[in-house]
Amino acid sequence: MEERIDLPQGTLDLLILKTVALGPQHGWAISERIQQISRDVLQVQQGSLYPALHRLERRGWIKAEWGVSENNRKAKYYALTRAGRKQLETDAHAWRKLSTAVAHVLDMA
Amino acid sequence: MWSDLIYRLRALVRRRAVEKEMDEELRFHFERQVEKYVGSGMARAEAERRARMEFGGVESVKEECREARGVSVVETTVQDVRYAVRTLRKSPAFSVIAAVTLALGIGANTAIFSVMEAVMLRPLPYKDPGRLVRFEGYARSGVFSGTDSSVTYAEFEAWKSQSRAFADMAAYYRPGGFNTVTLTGAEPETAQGGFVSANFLPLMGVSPIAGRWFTSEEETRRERVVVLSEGLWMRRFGGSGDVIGKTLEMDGVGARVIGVMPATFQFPDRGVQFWMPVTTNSHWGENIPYDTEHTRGYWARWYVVGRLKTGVTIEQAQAEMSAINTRLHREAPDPNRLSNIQVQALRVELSDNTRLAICVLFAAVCCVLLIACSNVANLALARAVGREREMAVRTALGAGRGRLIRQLFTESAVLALFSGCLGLILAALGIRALVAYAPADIYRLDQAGIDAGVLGFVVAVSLLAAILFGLAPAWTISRGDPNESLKSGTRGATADIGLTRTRGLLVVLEFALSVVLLTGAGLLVRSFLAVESVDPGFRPEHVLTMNIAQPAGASEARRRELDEETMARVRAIPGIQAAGAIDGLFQRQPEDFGVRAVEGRAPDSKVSWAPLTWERIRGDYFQAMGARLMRGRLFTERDGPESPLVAIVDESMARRYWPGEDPMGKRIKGFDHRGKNDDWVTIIGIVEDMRRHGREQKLASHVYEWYKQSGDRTADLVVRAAGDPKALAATLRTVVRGLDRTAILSPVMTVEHQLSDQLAPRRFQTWLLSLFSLMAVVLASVGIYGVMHYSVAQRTHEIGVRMALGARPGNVVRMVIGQGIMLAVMGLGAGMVGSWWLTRLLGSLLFGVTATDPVTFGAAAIVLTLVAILASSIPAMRAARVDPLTALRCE
Repeated sequence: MEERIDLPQGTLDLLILKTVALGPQHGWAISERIQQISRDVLQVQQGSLYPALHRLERRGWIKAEWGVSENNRKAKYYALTRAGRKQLETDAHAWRKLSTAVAHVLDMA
Repeated sequence: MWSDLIYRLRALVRRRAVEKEMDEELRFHFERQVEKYVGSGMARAEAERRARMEFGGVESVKEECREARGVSVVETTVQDVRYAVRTLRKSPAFSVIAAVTLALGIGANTAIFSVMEAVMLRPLPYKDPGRLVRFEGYARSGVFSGTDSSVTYAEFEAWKSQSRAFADMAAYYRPGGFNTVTLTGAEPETAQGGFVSANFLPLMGVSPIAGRWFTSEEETRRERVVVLSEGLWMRRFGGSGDVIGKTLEMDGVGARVIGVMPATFQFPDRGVQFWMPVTTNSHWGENIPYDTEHTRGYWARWYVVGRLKTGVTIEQAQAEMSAINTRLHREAPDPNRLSNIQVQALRVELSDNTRLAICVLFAAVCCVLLIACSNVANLALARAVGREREMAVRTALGAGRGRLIRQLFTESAVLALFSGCLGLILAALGIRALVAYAPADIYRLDQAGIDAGVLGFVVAVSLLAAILFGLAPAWTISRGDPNESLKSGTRGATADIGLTRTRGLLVVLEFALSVVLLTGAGLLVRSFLAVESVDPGFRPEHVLTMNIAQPAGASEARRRELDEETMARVRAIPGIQAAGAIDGLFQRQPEDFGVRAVEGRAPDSKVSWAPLTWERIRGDYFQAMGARLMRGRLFTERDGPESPLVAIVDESMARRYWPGEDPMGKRIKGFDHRGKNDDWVTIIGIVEDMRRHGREQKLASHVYEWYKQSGDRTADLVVRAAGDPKALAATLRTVVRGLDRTAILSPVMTVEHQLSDQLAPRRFQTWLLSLFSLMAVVLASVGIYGVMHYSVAQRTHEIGVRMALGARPGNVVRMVIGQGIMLAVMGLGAGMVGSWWLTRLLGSLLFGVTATDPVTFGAAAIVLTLVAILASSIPAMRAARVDPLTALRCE
């Protein structure tokens, strides 16, 4: 747990977009997925996940639909929209650029 | 953008459903998490406990979701409004002063606007009034030459049958003498009627409120059917429902009531009391010799109103009418027929002066509102400084500049709308006062009130005010650097220079506007005083007057006899010093009759006749009026019908025809009613010029004739009382009534009262404009006080230093007051330039002063400078009391 770090602002949106890009997911699965892929480094709290989902939906980057979950329950699934895919590309690009730049600076020292 | 909107709409409309979905979503998450823990071998209770712990506060998550979802525009606005109300309540002093200031401005504006709306802007109360037209032309017929609207019936019929542009045309008797009848009864009264074509009402598109209008068959058969005005119905029939079929007696002949018109219907003029078929007028079919010099007044006695066909413009109708008129003149030339016909849209007949006065007053209240706005802007700016920290915190917490401006503007709007409500109450009271105290003869003024249009105006003007006074503070506050404000913890000194300049500019603006209002009001006051000081040429104190009209049908001999007896009896009333009579004391305007010939001079052509009035008098008219005889003698009873014709002229007449000569014994020929136009009339006396028709009217020349020689009636009794004239009024009436049961008696009035009535519109405008300029000056003084007060507070440290370095309190006072005067003088300068341009618009409202009267301008400058000194002296005293030690320690 000590490995866990806080997400910089705006990063969560990027992670969510990336996760749902792989296929429609419900909220719980999104948070599980992020946790798994990041090897438990990134833990998404419900308190930030759901507001982020609603925000993204409002912006039209993801859309929500009620479906049936893997355990046969009604669940709200989020899928990437076309605008969301474009946004994901821009954001991912910007993020990579930023992190490389930050890395360069840090390596210099 | 689209998705955003739909999302928000959904959130707003389906609030419940969205909430429920959110619940379900979060519950699913929770249960899924529990399942996960149970799957990994945890006991169910333990799993639930852990999941709940992780989850945290469900409500706070939900709240954040709601926020993320973007609360709807409506919801943010509601939030902003709540916040605004809270903030305003936190600073009650500011809120109350600002609200009262604005309410005064908005209230005054609304009251004047409602008058303007009722009198000038509201469409006429007819169906589709934009298509109704009237006609005006020029007559070249002898003494009746001039611009006119009256036509002969043949002319009207020709227009009607030959034109294609009009859906319909109707004729009616020219308002005035032709329409005057006597309503006989216990107390006979004179009434104006409308004698109109049967198609008149359908053309106007109005319906009676009871009964019906008359038919064209009734018109052709000359049936005496009458449609009452609401006023007459109330007065004569008590507004009873079964009035239809009753009889109204006029000039001794009955007419059957068939309908009642609504009170708003006042055509052809305001005084109209009833309508009857045009063919039932007592002058219908009357045949007097037709000539082209003297009888146009009798022959051309109808006015025409037309309704354009849909799709036909006034220009098209004009072209057609011009063509018809040219053809008529070619086929049968006749100077009695109008030429150059103009087709004009029917509109409210409003005197130019009334129109101008209303516009001036509206401009004045707009100035007052502007001053109120800059005052409130000033207050808000002062408050803004104190709020810099609050704004900085909000900016730091992520509120954008747009959001802050929006919040501040919401505050302004809330304040303005609240003031608007207060203003509306003030306006309602104001309108009532306006209607009650305004001169009675402004058409539709009594219909002014708060209606939908006025409400819309209040909202619009409040929001406009919010923009005006909210802009500067919003700009200043939101521009502040949050870093700076948060660090220093006090007001940032950097922004203050700009702020002080803005506030100073606002005060300069207030003073400039006040100067304009003050000079305008000053000019009106000077005009009023000038009018009041004009010598009317007689002594109106103690003079009573009463009009005695005879009903139609009374014999001429009987009338003379009654007049004779009346005079004798009135003279015998104790307490009466002098009694006389004249025909048309106040009612008539000077007529366009001249002198046909003056002995020893070449004959005057009619065109060169200047307005001149021939008056018939009886008894001791001049003594009763208190006019002085300048030369010669007055009429005596020896001047009889058989003795040589004599006349008295006034001084202006003497100056005009006999400059530098003695007019006594000179002879003239007039245009008179005796049919003795060619007899010479000898001048036996000269009296003072009298201005009975209004002290601001151009002086009209008079020729006075003696009743025994001119043979006309003298309907206006004029009586001079020894003591209080009001005590005599009842006696006078009883005496006359006792003698003559059928006469129509006007109320007994004092001449002083009537003279004062002539000044009523002027008095009213002057009073209102003075009131508004007083408001402006008070607001401006509050404004300058506020700025100086603030400036002193801000410079406490500096003042402390100055005093520590040896400045005396007197120096400090001078410095502060000097600063106030600086602002005032800048405002004065700008205002003077503005006044120079604007006061000339007062034009015809001015009397005896020029639009750039130096006395008025100087007085305005002095008043405002004094106000500035007074208003800044209080902060100056405060400054002088600054204790250098305390001031310096504060730093």
